[in-house]
Amino acid sequence: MENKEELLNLISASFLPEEQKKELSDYLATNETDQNFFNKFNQYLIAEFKKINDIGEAKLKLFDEKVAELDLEIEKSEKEEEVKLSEKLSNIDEMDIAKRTDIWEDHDKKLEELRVDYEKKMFAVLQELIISRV
Amino acid sequence: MAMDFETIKDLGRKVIGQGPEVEFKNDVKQCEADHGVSFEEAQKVIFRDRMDNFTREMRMTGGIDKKSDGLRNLKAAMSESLDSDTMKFLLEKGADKSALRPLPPLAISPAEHGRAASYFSKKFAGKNPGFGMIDEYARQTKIISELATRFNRDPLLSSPAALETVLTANPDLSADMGRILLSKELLTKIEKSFDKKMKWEQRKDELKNTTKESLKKILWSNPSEYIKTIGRSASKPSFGNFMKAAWATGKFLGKEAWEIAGVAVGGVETIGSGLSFASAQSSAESLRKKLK
Repeated sequence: MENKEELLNLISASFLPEEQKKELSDYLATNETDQNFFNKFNQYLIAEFKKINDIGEAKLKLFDEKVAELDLEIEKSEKEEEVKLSEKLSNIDEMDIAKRTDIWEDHDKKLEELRVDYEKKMFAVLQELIISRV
Repeated sequence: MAMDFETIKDLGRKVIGQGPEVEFKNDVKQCEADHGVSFEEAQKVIFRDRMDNFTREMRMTGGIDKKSDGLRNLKAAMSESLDSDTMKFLLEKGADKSALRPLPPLAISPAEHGRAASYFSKKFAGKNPGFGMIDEYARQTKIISELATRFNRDPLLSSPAALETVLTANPDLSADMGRILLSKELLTKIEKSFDKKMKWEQRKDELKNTTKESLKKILWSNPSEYIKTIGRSASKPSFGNFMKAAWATGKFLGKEAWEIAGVAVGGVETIGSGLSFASAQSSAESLRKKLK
C-alpha cells in the first residue's frame, strides 16, 4: 500500500501528459501494481522520452541553422561597412587627419552596433525556440 | 653618503613612474655639461634624440605599441619641455590641414604594407586586420616618419631659443609635431578597433555555446524532475520493476539513463530545484549499478 502511494507520487511528479497520469493513477486506485501496470507505464515513458528528445534535437538543429544565418548576416554587413569605409577614405585627403579620424570612429561605432544587434537577434532566436513547437 | 634634495626628488619621481621624465632631465643636464651648451639647446638635442628613437622603433616594428619605450620616452620629453598650452597649440595646428607644409607624395610600398601587417600579426597571434586597416596604419606610420624627419632636421631647432618658444613662434613646425601626435592617436584607435574585433569573435563563439547550452537545459528540464525522483528512490528494492522500466527507457533512446540524468541536471539547476549536479549524478550512478 505504501508502495502504491509512493508510486502515485512518482507518477504525479513525472513528465507524462496529464491524461496518462490520470489513467495510471486510476488504474492503481482499482488494481494492484501488476505487470499490466508496469508495461503500460513503460510504454508511456518510452513514448514521452522519445518525444521530448526528438523535439529537443530538432530545436537544437534549428538553433544551429538560425545562428549560421546570423553569422552570414553579420559577416555580410561587416563587409559592406568596410566597402563604405574604403569609399569614404578614398575621398578624403590623407593629410586631413581630423576627417579621417572621424570616419574611422564612425566605422568602429557601426561595427559595435552590428555586434549588439547580433546579440539581440541571438536571444530572440533563443526565445522563439523556447516558445515554439517544432 | 648623504643625498641632495634633487636626488631624493628624482628617486620619488621614479617611484611614481616618472623614470623616463627624470632620465630626460638628467640627460639634458649631462648634455649641457659635456658640450658646454645652454639648457635650452641641450633640451632640444635630447628631445630630437627621443624623437629619433621613437621613429626608429616604429619603422623597425611596423607600428607603435602602447608599451613602446620609444613612445614613453618621447612623451616624457614632451612633458618635461612643453606646457599644456603649447601642447594644445600643437594639436590645434596638427589638426589644421592648411597649417601643414606639403609632404612629398605618399605612395605606400608593398614592403611598408608588409611591415604593418607583420606588426598586427605579431601582436594578435597571427591575425591580420585586412587591407583597409593595414593600409591606413602603414600610411599614418609613414606620415609620422616623414614629419619626424622633417621636424628633427628643421634649422629652427638650432636657434638658441627654448623648444616651447620655437614651436609657438612657428605654427608650421608645431603643425608637424601636432600631426605626429594625432596620427599616433589614430594608429591607437585603429589598433583598438581590431582588438575589439578579435575579442568580439571570441565572445561571439562563447555566446553561441552558452545560448545553446541554455537551450539544452531548458528543453530537457522537464524529464529532470522525473529522473531526480527516480534517483531518490533508487535504493528502494520494492521499486525494482519501476527502475527497470526507467532503465529500458534510457536504452531505448540510445542513451544510458544516468547520462540522460546528467543532461537533465542542468535543467534542474535552471529551475532551481536545489538538486546539485554532483548529488544527481551520484543518484543516477547508483541507479545504474543497482540495475546491472
